[in-house]
Amino acid sequence: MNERIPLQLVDGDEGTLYARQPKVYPREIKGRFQRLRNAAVLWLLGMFYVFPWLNWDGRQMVLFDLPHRKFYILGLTFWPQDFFFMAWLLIMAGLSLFFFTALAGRLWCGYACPQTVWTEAFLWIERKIEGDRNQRMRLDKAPWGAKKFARKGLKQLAWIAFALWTGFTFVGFFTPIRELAGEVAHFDLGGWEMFWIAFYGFATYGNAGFLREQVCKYMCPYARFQGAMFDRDTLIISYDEPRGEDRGHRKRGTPSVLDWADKDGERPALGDCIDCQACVQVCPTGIDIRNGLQVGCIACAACIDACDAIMDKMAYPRGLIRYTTEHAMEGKPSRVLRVRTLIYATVLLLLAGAFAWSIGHRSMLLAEVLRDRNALWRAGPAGSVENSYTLKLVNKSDQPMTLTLSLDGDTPLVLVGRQRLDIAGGEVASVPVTLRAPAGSVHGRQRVTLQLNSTDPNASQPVADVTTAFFAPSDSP
Amino acid sequence: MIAPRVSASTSRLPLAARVGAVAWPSFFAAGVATMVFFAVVDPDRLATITWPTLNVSRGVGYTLGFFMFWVCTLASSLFTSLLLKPRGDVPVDDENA
Repeated sequence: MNERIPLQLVDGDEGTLYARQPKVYPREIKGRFQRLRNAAVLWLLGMFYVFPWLNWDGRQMVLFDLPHRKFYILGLTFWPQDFFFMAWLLIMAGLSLFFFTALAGRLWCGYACPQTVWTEAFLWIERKIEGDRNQRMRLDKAPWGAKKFARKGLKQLAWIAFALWTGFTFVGFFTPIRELAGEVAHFDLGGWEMFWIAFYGFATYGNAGFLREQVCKYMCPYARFQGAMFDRDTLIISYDEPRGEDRGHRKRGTPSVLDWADKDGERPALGDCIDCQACVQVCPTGIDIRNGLQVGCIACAACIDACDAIMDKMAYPRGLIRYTTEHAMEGKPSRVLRVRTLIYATVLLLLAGAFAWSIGHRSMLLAEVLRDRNALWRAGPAGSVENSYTLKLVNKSDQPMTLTLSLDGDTPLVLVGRQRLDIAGGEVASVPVTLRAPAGSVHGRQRVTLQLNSTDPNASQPVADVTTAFFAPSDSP
Repeated sequence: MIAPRVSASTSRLPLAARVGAVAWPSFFAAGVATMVFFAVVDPDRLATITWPTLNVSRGVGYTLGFFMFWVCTLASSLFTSLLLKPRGDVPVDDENA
């Protein structure tokens, strides 16, 4: 009556649930998607390593000059007060990630993520020194000898040199890279610059040389939440299971199941997957795409290229592993235009348009007024009352500005002192300003607005106004 | 009836994953905090109102600020990971519970 069911407690065995991950030796593969990825790697790394060396108007084209608190990007100068633009840009970057994920899955992971890009670069170095997949596996298994030591040492040297160069370039985005290069050449590097070069270099080395796919699998938050942007019309890399199964070795010349003409007869037992493991060997995260969509898949499409090459060899049609959508696999049409992509695209376009507009129309003058803290008011000549202020003006442009200072609206107050202000390009000026109220004209607190106008008749900009308070003794003492 | 506990404890994750789960999010948060903080506050002026006798340049200010933030976020991440560790005397919730 009571049958015993053999149960095993899986919890106790060491590493049952999280098997120790074997080291991944991705095999090199050529193909159309790998060409695309290489192009992306070259383009992105090229931007990173070359941009700091390019000049624009005699100044580094991209320089986040932290010591002087100014960012120079393509001839535009940004001040800390423009931080808002950066936050805006980050929101746009996040949203475009959503958009491209909804459209074509993990494009970011496969083609553009710094983790992928630098891992590819480090893998390339490894391949050049240690050889292809089989040679690398053999080398790792071999006992330590002079040859292994030389190979491994050379690789480490090349990696460290590349990582340090990366760190140097990184710091070169924050301090002028030509000066930095001079300091390096003369062994005259500042302590903190040295520290950041080493720190960033170490991070690059650790992430791209050592951790690699583990970053994607265990540390990347995007890998965890990207599924939320997916729907049944999102491009994914998928194995065509009905076509591929049952997998197995077969004689050369066996026709593809797709050529199986006699629809009434029985389908051949073997599908088109010849179980050659090529898709597994090329995978940089060491997964088997034939097990279905997995979180470990960074959508690099290496398995597509590998499988296509095998299909070509077998004279089978390509696409046993391919970019497809869940709807397409079910034989339904896939739609690129759908509510999700349209919403993402619309919001993105609006944000980008508003961003471009506000960059073009941002005020180059920053004005702020501070009341004199020492006295609320003081007596002026002929029974008048005076208040003093400090006007802080920041000329964010590189050109000098001439401004006229005036009082806005109908007010009995008068400006005392100079009303024509010259501010050099990039200058932060503190201008003392005194306002005077003729005897008996003002009582108590009164709002007052100072207006700054350009003297250039052609320019409507820059105009700024700042509002502050004027204090005078109240009526009855 | 035996209900096998299938939810793995975090200690089963590879070392890199465990270190990364603490170090990486805290690093990221510290980076964002540093950016926002120093967009508003000039380290030069911060230095004059804190320890004016020490000669702290802007570069050093940014660096110190970043690591101060990182120490805080790292401590917090570490604390969280400690509290999330399964305890012997508390039954672990799984889907069946």
